[in-house]
Amino acid sequence: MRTDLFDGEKPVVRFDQVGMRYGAGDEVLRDIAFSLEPGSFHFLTGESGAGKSTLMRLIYLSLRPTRGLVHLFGRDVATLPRDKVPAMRRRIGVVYQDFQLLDHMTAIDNVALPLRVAGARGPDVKKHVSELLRWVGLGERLGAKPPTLSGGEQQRVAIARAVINQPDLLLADEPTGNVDDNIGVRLIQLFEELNRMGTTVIIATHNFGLVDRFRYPRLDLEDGALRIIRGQRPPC
Amino acid sequence: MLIRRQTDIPFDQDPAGRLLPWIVAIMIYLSGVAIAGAIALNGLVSTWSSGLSGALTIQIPAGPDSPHAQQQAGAVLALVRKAPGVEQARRLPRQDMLRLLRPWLGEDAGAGDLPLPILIEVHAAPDAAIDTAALSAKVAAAAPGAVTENHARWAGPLIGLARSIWLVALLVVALIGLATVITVVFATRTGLRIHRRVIGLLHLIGAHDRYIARQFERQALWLSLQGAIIGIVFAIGTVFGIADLAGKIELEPAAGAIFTPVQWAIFACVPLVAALVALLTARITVLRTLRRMT
Repeated sequence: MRTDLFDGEKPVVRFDQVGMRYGAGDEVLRDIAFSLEPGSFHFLTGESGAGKSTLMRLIYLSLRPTRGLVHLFGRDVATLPRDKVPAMRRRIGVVYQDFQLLDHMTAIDNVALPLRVAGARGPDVKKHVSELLRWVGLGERLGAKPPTLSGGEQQRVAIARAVINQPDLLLADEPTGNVDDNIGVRLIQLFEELNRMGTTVIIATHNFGLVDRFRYPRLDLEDGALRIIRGQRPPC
Repeated sequence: MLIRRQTDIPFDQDPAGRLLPWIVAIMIYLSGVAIAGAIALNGLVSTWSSGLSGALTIQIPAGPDSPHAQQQAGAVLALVRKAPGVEQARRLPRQDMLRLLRPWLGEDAGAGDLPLPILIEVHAAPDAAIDTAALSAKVAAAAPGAVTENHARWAGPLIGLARSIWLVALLVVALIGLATVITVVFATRTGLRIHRRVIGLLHLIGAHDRYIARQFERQALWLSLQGAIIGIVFAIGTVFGIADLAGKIELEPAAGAIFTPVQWAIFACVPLVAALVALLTARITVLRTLRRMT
């Protein structure tokens, strides 16, 4: 059965009866079916081991499903030619749970990486990146390398890197896990700002305080199955 | 690594990358010496062969057993100068013969009364041929016991030998080039394994394989160029050293005169060619490996 949250011609994300297993093990995701319209905002919730990270990895093209179809921006990813994958990935910003920062690069170079990969160069890039890092409270740590940053600072660098090129789809895996509530709220507000500009946002979190406070719809995973819990505020 | 560069991939953590410049330096040194040897040999052989073709030497025995040697030499010189095709014939002065003997007999070569034969040098006119058999018969009649030696008979085997050595040198350079390619492939594959996480991240951020390959090829170019420059500098030093030693025994000209400007340019291009080969090898290795990985 497929659960459509919204009507629309081309959902940003659409899963059709997706199943996923690692090797010969049991399915960690079963019959996942949903679609997310452009400009929507969702929390992804579930216990540890429920399959949140696997679902995120399927969306950001780090994994291919064992069965079923995954569509991104209206394209079936299984039939996407290899040389078209990078362009699709550039439309997706990801905040990884373990940050995935490059330790040999400064904060500013880490955040500029998606722009560099997309071919952007010049002083404007540095200015733009510096402004964003100041906005997330790291104006004094532009030249610091990740090993010298605290967990919270690393997380903010990771967030800045994910949003620097204003992606069409933002995925954040526990983005508030290492920051206090005030910064956590501020980060969600940053995601909301992006969402208002048209970015579709999915935030995987354990922080039910934030989920309750912002009241966006939830994709809830339990034992590999997906359940939709509608929010109390309409998606943008 | 000798000098560090800022890259998305932390290459300075590669053990293979640290060794690559030194391996390339050794390879280029060996290639440089092989190429220099081949070029020098080629020049030497062409000098010899041009000197040998169209040249004859007539040797008339002299000493107590040949009391008429001087008269015979005069007669031979006269008949040789009249022979068809001969441009020049001259009796080799005793001082010149002693100079030729000096490398073997030392400075005392001229001190005693050595029974040196009389040598007559004969050169053919350009595009003319000397009938060696007929001339030899006339010489033998005028000076019994005289020997007429045609230098051209040495030229053929000498050129054949030089060509063989030239081919061996080319083979050595080709094998060294192949070894360099294998080394770069090994270093690149090691780098791809070591930096798997970073490469995965770059892919997820939207990097094309070409973007990642560019990082590896620039690194290979940079490291190889450093090594190649070191290798060629030492090779040039070795060439000058050998040329200097050869000059002392009057075997070869001075180092600067070994190569023509074009040959020096070819020699100077060796590091660039090596760096270019490393760049292309790294690119092909990365693109093929990434295609297999995903």
